[in-house]
Amino acid sequence: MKTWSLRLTSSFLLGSALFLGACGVQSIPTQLNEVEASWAEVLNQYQRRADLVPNLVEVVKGYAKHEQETLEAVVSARASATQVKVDVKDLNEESLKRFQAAQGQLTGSLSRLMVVAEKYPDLKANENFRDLQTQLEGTENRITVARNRYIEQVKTFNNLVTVFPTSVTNSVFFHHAKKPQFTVENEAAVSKPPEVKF
Amino acid sequence: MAGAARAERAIPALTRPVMDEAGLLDAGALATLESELRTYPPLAQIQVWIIPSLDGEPIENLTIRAYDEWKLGNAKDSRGAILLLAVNERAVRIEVGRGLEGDVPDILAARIIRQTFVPWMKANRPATALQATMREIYRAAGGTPLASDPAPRRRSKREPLPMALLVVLFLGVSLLRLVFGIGRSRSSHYGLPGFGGWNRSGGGWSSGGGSWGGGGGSSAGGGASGNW
Repeated sequence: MKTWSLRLTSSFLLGSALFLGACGVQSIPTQLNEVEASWAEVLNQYQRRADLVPNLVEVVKGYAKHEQETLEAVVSARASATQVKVDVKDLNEESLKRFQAAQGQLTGSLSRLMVVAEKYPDLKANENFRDLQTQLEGTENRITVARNRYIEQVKTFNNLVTVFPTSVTNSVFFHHAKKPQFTVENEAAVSKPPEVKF
Repeated sequence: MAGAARAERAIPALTRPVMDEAGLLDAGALATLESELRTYPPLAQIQVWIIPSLDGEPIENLTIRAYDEWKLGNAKDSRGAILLLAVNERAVRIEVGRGLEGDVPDILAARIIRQTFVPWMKANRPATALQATMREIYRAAGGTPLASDPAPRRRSKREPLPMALLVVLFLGVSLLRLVFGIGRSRSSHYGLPGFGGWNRSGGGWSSGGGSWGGGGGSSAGGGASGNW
């Protein structure tokens, strides 16, 4: 009698362990793939923006020769941004912060450049400049969309990894850490409006 | 974009190619635009959405939410586009699905808005503005709009059938369908009565077309915005 009830209890425990363990065996790797794909898209769109910068600098240089400081700031910001590459395998809170900082610098210098360009009506009327401005706006939008999608995927992934019962599967089989999230970039810089020197 | 304090506008269900919540177009213009838009897929599934006001939401935010909801174009191609007008702000955006990004890059979308849409809107001709714009998008997508080639599938040089005749033909076909439907249910001994013709929804009697819905497409945020 005793061994019978012991067997029953142990098989019940084993059954529930297996059942709980099965939760997340599929969904965690699937969601990890989604996170990786959405990160690749984020990198893709940021790269697209970086690719626009050389043309933009050339066109502005043609009309605003004396804005050396602003132009140089954009060029160097772009160089730094393209140097900070974060492969999805190395994606953690620290590397994401570095990446965000570098890209944020490029964002800042680009917006200063566009403010400066407002002073030059000939530049604004230039067809090339207008096209580049459109492309830049389009790319900034795509970056926003890609980031939002990444944020959603990471939220889902982090939930799987930290919330019961899939968290059990994670701690037993996968040992994935939580993926990092985008933070509001440098709040101090964002709240300060760009200077316009006349 | 973080943590909006006000409630975001709900995205309405996708029911028809032109959804005019601001009453900008009269019924005739709306019907004309709709019947043309229905001929565009699969080259491009263009959706026209007119709203009274953005209520403080950035237009790009609204179009991407709408595209995520409606999924224009099919999952493989995403050849869709949303043409959104916000009357109060005089703002317009063409949101381009992934599959159309090659044919309608951001520069072209901006150009279409600037050179086609805005001039017509400034001349107070919204229906023409929409028609010309959607045709430009369709042309870029590889299509030949009705005006220049009214019988896109026929190669003959015959005069094209006028729109009214097409509508009458369509209604005639729908009538026949209904007649056959009733006949079938009457003679059927197994089926429930009335199960057949009268329950046919979405197809037959709706003005000019069948169902209209997204096929799983997505947008990466491409397109262009403008003001008139």
